[in-house]
Amino acid sequence: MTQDLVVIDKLTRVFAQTKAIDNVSFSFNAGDIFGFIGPNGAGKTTTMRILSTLDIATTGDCYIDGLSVTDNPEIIHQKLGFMPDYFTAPNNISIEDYLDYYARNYGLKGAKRRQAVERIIDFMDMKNIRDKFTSTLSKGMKQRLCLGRTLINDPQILILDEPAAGLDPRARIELRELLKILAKQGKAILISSHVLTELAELCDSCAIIEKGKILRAGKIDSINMELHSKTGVSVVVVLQSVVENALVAISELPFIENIEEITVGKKYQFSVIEPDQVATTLHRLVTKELPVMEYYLKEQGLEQLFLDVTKGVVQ
Amino acid sequence: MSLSSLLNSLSDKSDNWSDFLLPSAINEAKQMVNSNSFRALFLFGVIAFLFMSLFLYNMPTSNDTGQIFFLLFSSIMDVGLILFIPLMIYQNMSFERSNGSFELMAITSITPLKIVLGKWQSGMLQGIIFGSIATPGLIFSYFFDGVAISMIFVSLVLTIIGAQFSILVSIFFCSLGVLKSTRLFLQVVTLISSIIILSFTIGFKSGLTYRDTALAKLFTTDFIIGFFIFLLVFLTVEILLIVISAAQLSPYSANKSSMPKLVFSVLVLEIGLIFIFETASYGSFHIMILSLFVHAFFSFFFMMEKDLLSKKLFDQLQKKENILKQIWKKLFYPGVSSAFLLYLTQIAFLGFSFCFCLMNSSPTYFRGNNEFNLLGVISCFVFYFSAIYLTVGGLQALFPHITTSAKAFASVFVLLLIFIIPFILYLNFENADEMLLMSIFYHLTERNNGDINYLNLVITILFLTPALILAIFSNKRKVEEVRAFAAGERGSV
Repeated sequence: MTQDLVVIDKLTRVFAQTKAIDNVSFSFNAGDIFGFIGPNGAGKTTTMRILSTLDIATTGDCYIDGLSVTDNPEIIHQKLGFMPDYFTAPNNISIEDYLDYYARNYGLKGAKRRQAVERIIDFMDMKNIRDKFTSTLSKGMKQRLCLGRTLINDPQILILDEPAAGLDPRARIELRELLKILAKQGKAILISSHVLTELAELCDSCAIIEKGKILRAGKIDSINMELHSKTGVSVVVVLQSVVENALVAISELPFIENIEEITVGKKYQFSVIEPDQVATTLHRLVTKELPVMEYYLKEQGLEQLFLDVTKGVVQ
Repeated sequence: MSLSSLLNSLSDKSDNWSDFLLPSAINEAKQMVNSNSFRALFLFGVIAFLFMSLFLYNMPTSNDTGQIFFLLFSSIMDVGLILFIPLMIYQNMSFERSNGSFELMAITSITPLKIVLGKWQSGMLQGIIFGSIATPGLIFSYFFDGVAISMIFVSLVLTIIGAQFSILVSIFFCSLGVLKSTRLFLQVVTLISSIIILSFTIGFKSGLTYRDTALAKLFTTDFIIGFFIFLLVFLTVEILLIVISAAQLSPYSANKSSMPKLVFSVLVLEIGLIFIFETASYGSFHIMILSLFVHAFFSFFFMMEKDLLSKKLFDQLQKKENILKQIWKKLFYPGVSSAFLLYLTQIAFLGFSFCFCLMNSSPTYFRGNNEFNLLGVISCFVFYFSAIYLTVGGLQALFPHITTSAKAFASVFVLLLIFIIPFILYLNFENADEMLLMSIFYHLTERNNGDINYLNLVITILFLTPALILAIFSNKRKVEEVRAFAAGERGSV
């Protein structure tokens, strides 16, 4: 079995009497955009800080490329870029000088350093404002610059803590597009956010954390399937024309629960409690001479998934 | 080659040369040059010095006009370089530590040592820029009679030494504070330290300026030997300051700074002791008190450090004990409780020594003839029992089950001494020669024709060496234990 690029293994962090995270484990690979979802104080930032070598776990460890972050922080620093949920830059410094400073901090010298700075300025589309002081930038531009700083050493792994917080819709779309490009370049991205719709469009895997414990982790589809195997699959049926007593006919079918009449006599939503009965249910609807025009699974977004998991539906 | 390509090539070359400097130094120099307040201050400085020069030039000259001129310019430069720049560095660094910039630096390839050296370099770079305003004024004073060019040179060297030391002290104090409130307190400490360094520098310079023979003394054998000894101590102190600051700034590894802190505090205490035994004057009295304060201060920080031997591991080691034993052991576990105890011990000794000296301002109760020797004896007590305390503390980490009681015993013993010694001294007040405890320590404090009592140094080293060795091994052991423990918990991936 091949090991994932980033492995968080049984991580626990205790602050005085508080367990910030408890036995947290998940993993993701190069090219993945992995969502890390949870309410405030759930332990997202603590996990990310340990992964970034800014904190040390009470027990457990994180591995990048098989290397322990606790034992090899110097090597990990070269492989990893961390973007915190705040932006800090010294006063009286231009965008170019800010990037140059971090390039120097990563040990880049001479032409290599200048090339790294140019690459980021190009990628972040900041050519025209390269001499602007960082203190004069908008929130969106600061986040963009912060992401640029994270990329200055061309890391394999990006850890982004609430990167979209406080951004306007346009800046969010731009950030999303940048992240997609980076994932295509083969970078492994761990991203935490409260904006679930934002993550839903980006991530194909996620971990849901609450009160320091991982409730679910893995591919979003797999989690959905797992959830549905216990709570049923939500299905929408649309009839070609209004049918009287359609509600009665549907409610008589086996394995059906939570029927909701969306349009009287025409559109219904219900749960098929056994996922393997979805196709059979369609057959039964047709057998009952209901003029089925559309029959589809209701998409379970990340938001619904998060709500289902955190409200304890599956615990 | 066209002009633009020549300019580009020159720009690239200068950019490449900047790689020899540390990132913080370049970054802060750029910030300073970009800052409007700096530009205004620089311009103001240039104009002010120009006007002052013209004013002094038109004054009726006397024998000491050159000296006044020189001291004025030199003092203004010293205030800028030894007082303002270190405070600016402190504030910048404190701001960076609060706003998270340090965290971002910690996850790059730059090491804490390079951060400290970079800040130091940055301070010096800023000093050179500021100093460039006043240096022409200093050189101008040469044209008045009374100030030799060698004096101007010595003055500049002294300013550089004072400034770099003051900058280092400010970096050091800033690295010690984690909480905002602590850093605020340490800022005041930094200010006081800078003022002390400034007063020493200006005082020394004025002494040299007004003594015709002072410069000649610089080249005597005694001075050169004394200077090199001073340089050795000075450099040792500076290296320790750098090492402690770097260790303090490294993430989750405060224990790394224990060793240099211990060495530093003992070294400072020793300097105090040497002054006491050498001269026994009022000046040495103040230095001794200062050294005691520094020692207490460091002991406090030393013991306050988070221990790598995690609480969980310690709890696991102790979990078979009953609740009373657990409480007893936790009381003496390295950390807050022990630090508090040690701190109280030292403060109590200090308070005692003050009170005793005040009560007996001019008695002849002791064979050493004055209260300063008594202070030396007390400082011996403080030092030796601190050494015992730290030694036993170090043993605890090596043998946690066995030595907790020993450490507790040592602590109680120290506390008892605090209460018993004053009684013994008081009871023997009229018959000092027969004071049992004093006579034990007498040979340590006896002056040998005004020279340093080397016996004291030898005994001190004998006491200190096992403490240091234990501290080194116990730290190493702690790290190994935690690693093994964490590895066991992690399992394999």
